Amino acid sequence: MPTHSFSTMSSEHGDKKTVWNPDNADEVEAARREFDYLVKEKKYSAFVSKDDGSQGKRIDKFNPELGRMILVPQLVGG
Amino acid sequence: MPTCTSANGVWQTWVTTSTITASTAYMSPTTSPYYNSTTTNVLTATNDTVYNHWVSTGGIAAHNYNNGNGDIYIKSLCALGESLYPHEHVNAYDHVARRPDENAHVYTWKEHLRKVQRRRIRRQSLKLLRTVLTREEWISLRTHGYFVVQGGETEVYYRIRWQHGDSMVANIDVLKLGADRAANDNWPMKSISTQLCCHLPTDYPIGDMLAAQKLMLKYEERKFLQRANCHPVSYTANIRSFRRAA
Repeated sequence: MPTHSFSTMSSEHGDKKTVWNPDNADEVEAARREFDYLVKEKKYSAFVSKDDGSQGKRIDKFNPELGRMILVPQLVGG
Repeated sequence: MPTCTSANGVWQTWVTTSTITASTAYMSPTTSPYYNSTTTNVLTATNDTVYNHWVSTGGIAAHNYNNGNGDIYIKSLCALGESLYPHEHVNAYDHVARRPDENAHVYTWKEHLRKVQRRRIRRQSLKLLRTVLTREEWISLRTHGYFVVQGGETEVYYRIRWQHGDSMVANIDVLKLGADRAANDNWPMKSISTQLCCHLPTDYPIGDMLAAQKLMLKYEERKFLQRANCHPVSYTANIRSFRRAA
């Protein structure tokens, strides 16, 4: 069963993964809701990146077909 | 043999709540010749297991522990009247008087669990960091304690350092150098134009911190620079030597 996931940086988990099966509409919708909540309400930044870290870009919308997304909380100046 | 010395009133708690028989003669506060409700009481455990059970279940105010090798550990434990259960003994072992050569530290279960959890979180964050960095950046981090990232918009090179104590204070150097020297610069102060401080809240583990800085500088540089504070350059070789996460 194919699964995709996005990673959310978390102080409680280090790397919190949200997993869905792209063929399962309910799981995709739940993942989309989680993504939208974090990006739109919590103002996280979302990135898509290759596993070897070589290429990536910022994204604004949830794409269930993307293999690997990383959500970064807001940074603060020190 | 391990010996516990209880403060007033604690003795009865031990002998009435313990499920491990230390010595039947001592188990009853009414029959024990050592029991005294107004003075300090002494009980000798038959072995370390018994002793540890007392310590973890008893509402101990203060005790001395002789491990049988002549090493005396003096610990300040929770106050009388506090809960008898270890998960509520938050400050039980906060103060440990140690000999200079002593490396043993005794943790409460709660402290121990927190430590294990922090390690797990840290390990997870480093796994995430590994997938965010390129192979060259990862090797640089392991070898030198830093890696270099080129800004996505300005194409300026930034050196992200893993500092001692996982400090995130001004851990990003803005370099004046080109790509050929940026990664092997060996810290000449003149190569740094300024230092930036911008990171996740402090309760995030180090792997997340460094990964977030890399991603933001690479793909969201403008937003990162708007948030970052600039610090004057202070040259310190404040780099943490890489160790695998325990």
